[in-house]
Amino acid sequence: MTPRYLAIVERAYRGAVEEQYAHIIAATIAFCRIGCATDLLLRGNAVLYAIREQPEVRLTIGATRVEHLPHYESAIGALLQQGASVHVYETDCQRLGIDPERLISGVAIADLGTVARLIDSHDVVWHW
Amino acid sequence: MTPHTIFLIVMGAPYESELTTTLFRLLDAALARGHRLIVWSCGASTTLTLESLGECKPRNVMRHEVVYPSTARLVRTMMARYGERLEWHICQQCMEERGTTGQIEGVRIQPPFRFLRYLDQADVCMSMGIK
Repeated sequence: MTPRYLAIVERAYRGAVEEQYAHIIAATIAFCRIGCATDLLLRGNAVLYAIREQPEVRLTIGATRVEHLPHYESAIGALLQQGASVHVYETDCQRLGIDPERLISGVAIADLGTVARLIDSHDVVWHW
Repeated sequence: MTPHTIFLIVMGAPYESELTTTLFRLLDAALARGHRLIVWSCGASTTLTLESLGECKPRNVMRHEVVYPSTARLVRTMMARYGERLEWHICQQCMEERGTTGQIEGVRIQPPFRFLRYLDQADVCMSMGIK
């Protein structure tokens, strides 16, 4: 049977200008596309990646436009379209005052028991 | 508004936080307002201006048509736009320690303790990140 992977992303907002397109959610989408089915669990400040209506930020540095900074909302939407599940850890949502209705449609909230079940039900777990 | 000389010591490593994004935004905003900016790049920040980074990041396999600028290009473009009002110094000790030799044209390689000179010249100094 094809193994199923779980990517736990905890460290958020690292190097927008350096990464641009090459952030960890984009890597997770790429894994799915090449047949490596990968689900996502967001913890820590990374739960903010799953909020709806995030602005699409662009920068001008000197004379250069940086048009493609990370936009996690569309990345998570694309990941859901790949058939991946996306969870956010409940305690971190509460800590950051994120109500469930502010989450992207299709994102599920995971309590500690669900986190344990997610880890147990996947063959490989990555922690980023 | 009186132009000031602002000295930024940058020590953090790329990809660890939003330090580099903050640095670039701060630089561009201050330069656009007419200030003189001196950057002292320490530690792994010396990788931001490597010639080997080229003009753009590696191709995005999911969007081949899009070109994403490298940090080296962003520094180069600021130096071109703002001329002598932006100086970018590289700590030689940090550079050699990390093997980040091969810097882009226009940055200045400096012995470590020369930063004291720029500290004296500055109206404002800020150290960003941890080595």
